[in-house]
Amino acid sequence: MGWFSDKCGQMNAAQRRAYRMYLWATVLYLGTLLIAVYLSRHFKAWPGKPLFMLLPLAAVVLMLRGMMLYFTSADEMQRRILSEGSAYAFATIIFASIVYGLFEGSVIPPAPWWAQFTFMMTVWGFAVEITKRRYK
Amino acid sequence: MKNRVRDLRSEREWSQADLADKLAVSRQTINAIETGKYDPSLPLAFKIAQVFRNRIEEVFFPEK
Repeated sequence: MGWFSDKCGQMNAAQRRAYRMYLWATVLYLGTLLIAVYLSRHFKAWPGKPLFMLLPLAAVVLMLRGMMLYFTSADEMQRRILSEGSAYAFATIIFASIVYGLFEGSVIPPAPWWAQFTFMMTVWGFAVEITKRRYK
Repeated sequence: MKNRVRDLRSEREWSQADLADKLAVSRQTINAIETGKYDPSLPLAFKIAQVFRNRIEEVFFPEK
């Protein structure tokens, strides 16, 4: 997961805590996602079925909190690396989305959500890594 | 921008980690400042000067 894998050098104590929070939240997210999918498929007739899909929401909030804590506890150079990396990743993803959108449906099939997510996180990881090298 | 951070640190026989601890930044940040890859913010530059008991213009100066 890109920037969370200590991409910006050594982590301080607060960053390590944030990192652990993020990892546990990810595990929780995957677990609750599986449960939500299982329940929604076995209670198809129940009108409150969409509520099952809210189960992973708490884990997502924890993941975001972990990211925010990591960012706010970073020193100024680490923040710059994260910010520059995010900017490069954003530009790359926007460009890729436009290009993909032009061909989607006609030449290439629509991409599943997990492929889009994986692509975005991979681009982000590379962008932070490239930015970090500039300051080594 | 050039700086004398490495020289001042060596004079005091501090490691990069020692200086990083005093400034509450990462060792990588100290290394990047010393090698000129990263110019610190004004507050951090003042803090560095303060740690070395120097004026800021004695630690940081423009490249000629």
